[in-house]
Amino acid sequence: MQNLKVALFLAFKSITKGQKSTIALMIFLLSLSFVNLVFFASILNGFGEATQKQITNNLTSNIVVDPQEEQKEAFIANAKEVQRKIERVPSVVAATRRHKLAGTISYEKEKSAKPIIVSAQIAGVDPEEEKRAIDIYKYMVQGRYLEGLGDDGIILGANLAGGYGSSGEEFANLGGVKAGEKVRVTFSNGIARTYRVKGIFKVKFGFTDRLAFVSSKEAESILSAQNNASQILVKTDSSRGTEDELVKNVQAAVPDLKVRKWTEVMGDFANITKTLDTVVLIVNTIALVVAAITIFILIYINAINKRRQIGILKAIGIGQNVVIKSYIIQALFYALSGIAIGSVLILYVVAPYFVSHPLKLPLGDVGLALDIKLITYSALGLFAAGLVGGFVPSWRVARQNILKAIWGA
Amino acid sequence: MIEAENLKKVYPGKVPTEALKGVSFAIDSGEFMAIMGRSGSGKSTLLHQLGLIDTPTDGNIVIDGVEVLSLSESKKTLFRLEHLGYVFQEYALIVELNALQNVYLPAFALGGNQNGYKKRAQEVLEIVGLGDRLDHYPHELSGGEQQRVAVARALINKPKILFADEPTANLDSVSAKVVLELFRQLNKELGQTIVMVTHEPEDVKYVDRVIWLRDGLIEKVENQAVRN
Repeated sequence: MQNLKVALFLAFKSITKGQKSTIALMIFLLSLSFVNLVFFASILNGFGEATQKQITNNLTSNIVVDPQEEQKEAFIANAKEVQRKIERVPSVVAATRRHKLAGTISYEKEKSAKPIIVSAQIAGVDPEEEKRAIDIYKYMVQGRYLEGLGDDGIILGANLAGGYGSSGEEFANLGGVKAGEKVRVTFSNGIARTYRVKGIFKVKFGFTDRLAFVSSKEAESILSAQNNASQILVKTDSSRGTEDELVKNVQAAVPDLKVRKWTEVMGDFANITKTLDTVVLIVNTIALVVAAITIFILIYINAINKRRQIGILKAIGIGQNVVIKSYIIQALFYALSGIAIGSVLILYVVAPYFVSHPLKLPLGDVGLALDIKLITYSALGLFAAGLVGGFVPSWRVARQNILKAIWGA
Repeated sequence: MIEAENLKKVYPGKVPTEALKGVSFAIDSGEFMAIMGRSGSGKSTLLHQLGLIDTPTDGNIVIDGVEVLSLSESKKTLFRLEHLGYVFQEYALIVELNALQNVYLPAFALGGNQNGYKKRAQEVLEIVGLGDRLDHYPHELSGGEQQRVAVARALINKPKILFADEPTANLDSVSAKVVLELFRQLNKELGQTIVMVTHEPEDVKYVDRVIWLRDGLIEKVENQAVRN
């Protein structure tokens, strides 16, 4: 205990009486290291989070229910009853039935010109049900969303419509169709119908912005079907359990159907978040090593410059452990100061900046995904780096022979 | 108080240097002894071994009945802290500490009442004539004053032996005299055992006995019959 008191005393004096510019530089470097740790992880987390939100909010929802492949059924029969069963599962917030249609959409931009024809995935939805599970209705850039089952219009994604400044427009599109104009859809079963474009949506996610939607009543008339669905999208309350648990709950309600979480549906694309986790781990490990080396170098230079003083301390009977502890305390002080200043920079400068100026990426606006866990882990990482970076050089210098230390040999 | 037996010190290297070739002597409690000799005679090396800041290649040292060379490094450190005081040739003070803090640091490390050791540090600084320099940092003190702070620091834990390695070498004659007078006063009035390395012939008038070294061996031992 007395050793710790002496070490604290020596560390305190070294910090308060040491060269202010060196101390300020050290703390500044460590605060940047902390910002680097938190920023990179949170921006990549933000990227992953934005991807997940785009998929779960606008494309697949959290869980997708399909007919079992081995039953070779193209549709879920008695879809309304199935939907009600799913909605009764406690963790389920909403469910929406979809009819999947494929076809080509043609648009005559000018009367005399050749129509533009583009292949498209078209879904039939109950607009009111759909709104509870999927957020596309919030992203109408022109016109309006479908209104009720009797709606005979079609809504188009911006990348499919073309001319809305989307990053996915390098793919084939209709060349700038607008709400109120007419398009002709030829479905894969040969049926062709003309629709008035009710609205254009733009969620800023390529997969979604190439879709088109009609009402499910319209879809059933094209497919000559009744009370069935190609798939059911299920929105769940993530606070009620893990994704696997929620899938299990839904599967228990509809054992004859194929129930998958969104990551399974999206396949490799969904793995992007896992890949990003790996990248974050690698980059953060490197950043921590760099921070530890920074502390190591600065403490080492400090200790080397005070080698004679360390020799004197040992000669007058101050133990080697006391000297080492005093340098570790100094390193931890620098690390904690860096964490404190870095936290202020992240929370009050960097994060607010990204709220007002998010990164504009093809998958949408990406900001920092900050959470207390990330900040805590980064702080603990830098603290550990301070511990190692402070111990190794002070131990190397403090164990030196007293006379060599004093003479500088 | 100190018994040195057949002390040898060889510094390794391409050509190993034999600094001490077998030195034996004893120092009594309350004695003020000087170690003298030409440059390279081994006098500082001898003091380093006696002061436990270096380890002899061979031989034995007994201080106050303790075979100190058999102690572990941490026990040697504690022994230095509790029983030995050391004054270096250069003013070896901690630059971030003021005079009072420099002096009480060894007492602080030893533990005990904070007010007690601060008061004692103040008293010792008054003994060395620096009662008005308590808050001064090393760079605010003259060479002689710094050396007196170092002497005060060496005395704070009431050491059995005070070792001084050419303590006046970097001082002007006036400051040197002040330090040597201080040593004599400590020795006479407090019975402090002092072992001092010096190369100044006039310093012998302050001491009881002189060990002369030559080429790592004791050349002669002189008792100073008359002390001023």
